[in-house]
Amino acid sequence: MKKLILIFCLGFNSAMAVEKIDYLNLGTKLLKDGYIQRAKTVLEKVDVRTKDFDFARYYTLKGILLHKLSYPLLSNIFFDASIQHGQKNPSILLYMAKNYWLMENYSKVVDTLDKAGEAAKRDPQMIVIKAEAQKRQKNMHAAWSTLDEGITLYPDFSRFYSQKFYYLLELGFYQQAGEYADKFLQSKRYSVKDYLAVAYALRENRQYRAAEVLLEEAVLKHPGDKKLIELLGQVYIDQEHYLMAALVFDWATLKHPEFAYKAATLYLKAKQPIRSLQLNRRILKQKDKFKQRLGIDIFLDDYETLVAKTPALKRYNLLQDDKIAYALGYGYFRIGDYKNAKKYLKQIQNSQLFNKASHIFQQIEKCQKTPLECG
Amino acid sequence: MRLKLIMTLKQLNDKKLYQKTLQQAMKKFQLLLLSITMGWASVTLAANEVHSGEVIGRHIFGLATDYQGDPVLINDKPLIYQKPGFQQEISFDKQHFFITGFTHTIGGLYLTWLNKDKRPIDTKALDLATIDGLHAPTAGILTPWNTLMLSESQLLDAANPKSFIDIYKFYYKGKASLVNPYKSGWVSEVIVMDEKGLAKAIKDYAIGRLFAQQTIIMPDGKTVYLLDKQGNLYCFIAENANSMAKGKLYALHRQQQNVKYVLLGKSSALKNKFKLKKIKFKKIFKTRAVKNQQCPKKYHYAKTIYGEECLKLQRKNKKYAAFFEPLRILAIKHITPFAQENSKFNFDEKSAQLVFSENDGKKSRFSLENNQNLQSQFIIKEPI
Repeated sequence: MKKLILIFCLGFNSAMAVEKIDYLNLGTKLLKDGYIQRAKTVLEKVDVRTKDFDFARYYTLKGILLHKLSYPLLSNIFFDASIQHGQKNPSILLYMAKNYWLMENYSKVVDTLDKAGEAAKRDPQMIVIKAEAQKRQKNMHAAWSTLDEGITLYPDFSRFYSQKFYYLLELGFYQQAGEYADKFLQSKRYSVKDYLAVAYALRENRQYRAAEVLLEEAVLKHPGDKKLIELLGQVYIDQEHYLMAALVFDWATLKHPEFAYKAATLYLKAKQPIRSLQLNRRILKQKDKFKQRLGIDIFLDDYETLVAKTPALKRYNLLQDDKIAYALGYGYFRIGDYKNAKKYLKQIQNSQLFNKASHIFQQIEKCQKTPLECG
Repeated sequence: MRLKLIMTLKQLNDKKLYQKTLQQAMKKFQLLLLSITMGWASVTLAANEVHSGEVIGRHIFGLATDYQGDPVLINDKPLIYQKPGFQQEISFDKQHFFITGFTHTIGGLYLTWLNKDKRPIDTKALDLATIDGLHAPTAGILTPWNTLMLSESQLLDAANPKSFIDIYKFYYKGKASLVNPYKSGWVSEVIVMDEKGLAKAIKDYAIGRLFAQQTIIMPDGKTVYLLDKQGNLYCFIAENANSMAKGKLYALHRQQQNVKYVLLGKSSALKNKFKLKKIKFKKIFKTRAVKNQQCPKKYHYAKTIYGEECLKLQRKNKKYAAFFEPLRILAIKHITPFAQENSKFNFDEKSAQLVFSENDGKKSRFSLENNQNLQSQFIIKEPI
């Protein structure tokens, strides 16, 4: 009986001890810790009908929550409501500006950041956003001034410089853009990403020479980065400087053997078959290697070597490819082995290649009838 | 008390005495309604009391929500309704609420808490996921069993639902495969269950997919008249009072001085809801093209608002056809509209008559009487 009374008392006490959950504080904490969905559920449970409820705080939290859930329009409705209820913290204006940015309402971005005053200048990212918003409103002068202000406040923040560089390019001031890039990208703090961004922009604006110089410098600074090498090679290809491009990839094969295929192809395009052959030997993927080798043999008019690869081509199942079958058929035709030539040309399905093959068939018939007329 | 009155009424055959008793019953019934603790205040308030897009309490009033309770996004922009379509006040104990309906293809309902001065203090979108959302809900009426009854009156051709699906898919986060046109066109009810604002919406699947523009519930809580935009009049007689879960659906056919109640079917909400899961137009009808108003053998010629069609009922779903495709069934049965297009009707409590007002102001009155066969005291006798 005593035990029963004790259990009853304990149960009663624990029931009495149940505290009322402060959902507003809990929601704040969850939001702060990044538990967005949980914060959403908890903030739903807040009883807003209580006396002297802190609407300013609640609506601020709802605004932040919706901003994080990517509902910029709804987020701003709540921020406006929080301001109406007395919220004076200027940092919510930064959220509002970000929301306007997402809604592509650039005039509101600038207005809101101006309203935020000093708070907007505490974050260099917000200065970049403001400049970009001014630029999108075609107010380049204001955008430039904003970036200048940013550089004064945060001289180490690289986005300001890259932003200025892009503006110069967009305005067609390539010379100044190049100088700007030289001036700021020489600094060690610039990453591969920065180099790539600037080089891409230069390439898009057909400033190949500037891009070459910049990328060569970048490749020397960051020899391990494949993207820089690829872009440099591409800039040379854009200008049809195949040998230069081949040399870049040839050099890169020391660290990145996968570039051997590209280098060999480019050497062949640059009419350097021997170098192409050397690089071809370094290709690790056998299928790619044999495919490319056929191209080199054709380039060298070395059809005996080409047809000698027949067993290897069969082994790697490459004769399924119409292009390879055509090349092999053509090789046999050139060495006068018409029987084998016909055998491989017959299996072609592709209509374009089939047309070409039918010409060879006619040629074969001609050669078989009057061998003297055949070269 | 109400049941006693109904029992007495059933025993009465004399017309005059019946009408007098009916009037008394109506007065008593009104008093009864007012005295119910959980009572709907039958006042329709101006729709502009609360503005769409405003923050009230926890939420943005008039923000459309999807089947998962998230904002409806149309082309990545949240849908905020322009203005409320209708608004109705309701009380539960001492707590007053507004129920606001938004008439949009992806319709919505909001429940708003009011303070003592009847000012809005909090609001929430009602969860409509259980009823697959609402398609353009129109003006609600208060039921004798203390719910708000509303209808999806915007006509929708289930045979050609593409334009509807193109918009309604946003309710399902762009998943067009989840949209089923047969889920729209029903009568719905909103039930507030406590003073804290616990509320839910249900669809009265037993009544049928009638696209009713106007609904009148008779004082017996069993007989419901429904009028659509085309002027078709239906009568649903529930098995039990104050519950639309089971009953019989009739279409009213007018032949000069006679009014016929043509039975369309007997069904229950549960059966229709179950059928709804897999129903498709092709499962109800086989169709063929019409040639000079002629149809192939075994096909019925049907001319409806959807156009001319040759229809053949699929045997398997024959008994459900009238509930899912009433307009086509009326055409097959040669039942013409009871009233003119866009007519209005109301129940004249004093004279116990149904009054139809046509566009030109002309009014037609129909006396109601007890009918043992149809098990209702509110059956049209004849036009006056």
